[in-house]
Amino acid sequence: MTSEGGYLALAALSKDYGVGEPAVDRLDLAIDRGEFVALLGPSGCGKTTTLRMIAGLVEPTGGRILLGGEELTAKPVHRRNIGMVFQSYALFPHMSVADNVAFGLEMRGIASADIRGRVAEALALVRLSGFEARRPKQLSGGQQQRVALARALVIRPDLLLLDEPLSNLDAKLREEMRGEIREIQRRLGITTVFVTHDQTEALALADRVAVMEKGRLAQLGTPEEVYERPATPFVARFVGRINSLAAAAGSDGRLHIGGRPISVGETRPVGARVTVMVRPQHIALGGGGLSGRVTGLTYVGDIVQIAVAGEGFTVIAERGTADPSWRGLVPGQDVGVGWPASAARVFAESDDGR
Amino acid sequence: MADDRRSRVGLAAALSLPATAAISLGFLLPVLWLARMSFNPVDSSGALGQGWTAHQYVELATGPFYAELTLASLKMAVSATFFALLVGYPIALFLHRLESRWKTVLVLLAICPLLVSGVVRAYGWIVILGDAGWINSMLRGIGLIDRPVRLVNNHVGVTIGLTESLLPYMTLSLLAGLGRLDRGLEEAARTLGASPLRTFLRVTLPLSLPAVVLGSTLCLMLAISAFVTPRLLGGGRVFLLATEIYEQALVTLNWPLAAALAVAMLALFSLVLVISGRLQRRVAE
Ligand SMILES: Nc1ncnc2c1ncn2[C@@H]1O[C@H](COP(=O)(O)OP(=O)(O)O)[C@@H](O)[C@H]1O
Ligand SMILES: [Mg+2]
Repeated sequence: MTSEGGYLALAALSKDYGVGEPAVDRLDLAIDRGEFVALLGPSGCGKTTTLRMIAGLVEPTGGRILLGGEELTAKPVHRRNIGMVFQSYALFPHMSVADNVAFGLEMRGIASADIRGRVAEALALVRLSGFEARRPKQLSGGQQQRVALARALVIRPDLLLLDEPLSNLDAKLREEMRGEIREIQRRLGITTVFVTHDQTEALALADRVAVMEKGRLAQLGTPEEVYERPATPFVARFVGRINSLAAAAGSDGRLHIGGRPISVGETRPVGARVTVMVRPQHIALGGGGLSGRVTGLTYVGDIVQIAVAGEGFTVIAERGTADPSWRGLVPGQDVGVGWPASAARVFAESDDGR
Repeated sequence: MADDRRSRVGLAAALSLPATAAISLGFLLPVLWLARMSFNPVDSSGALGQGWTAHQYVELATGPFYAELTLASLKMAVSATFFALLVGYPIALFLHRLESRWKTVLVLLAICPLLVSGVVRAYGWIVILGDAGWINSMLRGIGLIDRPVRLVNNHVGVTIGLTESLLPYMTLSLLAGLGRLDRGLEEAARTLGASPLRTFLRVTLPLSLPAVVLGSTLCLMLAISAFVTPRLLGGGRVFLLATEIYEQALVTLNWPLAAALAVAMLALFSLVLVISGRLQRRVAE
């Protein structure tokens, strides 16, 4: 079922709540069977709305949703067979852990003997065997999260939806759960859409990342693609840190900053104004075509950030603290600034909606 | 440290003194005085005597009239509470789920009948339900009946009036108790395959039971002690504990008997409270 349209296909999917701009605006997205896709974007860009439309909890104002070639748009929530993990977990407080997990099976009219087996299996999967009789409020946040996951998985859904499932956990637990979710997803081979505003989480987890901006798809690609070849300045800035430099094309079509030519792999029409974007770890200090002065060093443990300002630009370079090359640098020192041509991304200034 | 705690407890006690005094003077003493009076003898001329007698309680326990009265009161209170629940539950659920800025206005609207005296509301119901009232005129107008349907001066009228007077209390208590009901839980149930009806039965209803018990307890007590509505809409033909207390205290002037009836009503309240406490613990699990 990996036709061109994908296993899950959103076609021009839109939601207009009737207040201000549409929350989701003609979104096209195709996801293959078994794929893990992260829906990444800043708060308010329409991620939750998209997920809730797929689940059937929000009615689209336009477009279509197809799952396995079947039209979902008009199907009521309870007939969709889609597992969802809510940000707040939404565990039933009046039921035990086992009853919470059994709920979806009961709704499907499965015999109680089979239910018991499958509940045990699902709880074993999330490493919560022995917690059957507990109430949700007697569990820690991480354990509640696992129950929510087991409850969504036990129904063997066609699709798993997760809405910022890790945002209520502390940093250490978050990383642990992240690995666990990915591991379970791989083992079951379940098609998954994972919503997050945390780019690290998205890059670490997903087969492909869909970056959303203001209700629209800004880029869909593998983590490497969106990080190394961002399609828009917005994606470049949102996924990881990046330097933006204003440049203009000279008479030979080469790009210049402050009158000095810079290394990029392309030329532009004379007089064109562009934004050149370079990741901090690609900024070379010492050689290079631009000259600047170190304005500050920020030591953040695993890396050190070196701020450099020159004529018409400021950049931040990053070095791993194990790399000795930054040790000699002091504020006020003059340094050459450059980067490999392949590391620079050039966008027309008009594309840069900043 | 210990001193600090002791002084804080002392301060709390001192601060609660006015309230304690007010409750003692305004509530506890009158009740004690009432209890004492229920044991006062009444002589043949009907005058209040001194000393102690259990005569009133013997009368209450042996006269079948009072047992019937208690039963009638309970029945009336239970049915009015039931109807108030039936009407109030959907209203409270609707208000609870409302996310519009009109929510506050609508909540106020739901409780604004409390601003109007029960006497006025009872007369309002007579205008609507009476033999020449709106409902009967309408039914006659469309030719459905040729003699008026009796809707006041009987149990029907009292039940309607009581239900209406309980409704704001019921709605408000339900609304207060629905806090635990999170929209996300119903949505989770739906994604797990529960139809809207099963979602209601398995999630919404069980989670709202504490609110139901709370509201019903309050309304039962209010209904048992209600006296204006039964008196005005019952037209003297509906006999309940509360109306009988009024009768004995202000018409027959048999204060000890009225006092004994009042004590019996207090006992009934305690019973309701005990049962409700048990239920509350059961449903809150
Ligand atoms: N029920 C709603 N009614 C009106 N506007 C809404 C509603 N839900 C979300 N929105 C708006 O839609 C936009 C997208 O919201 P959401 O999908 O929750 O974004 P995200 O999950 O990416 O933070 C926001 O501007 C939000 O204010
Ligand atoms: Mg969201």
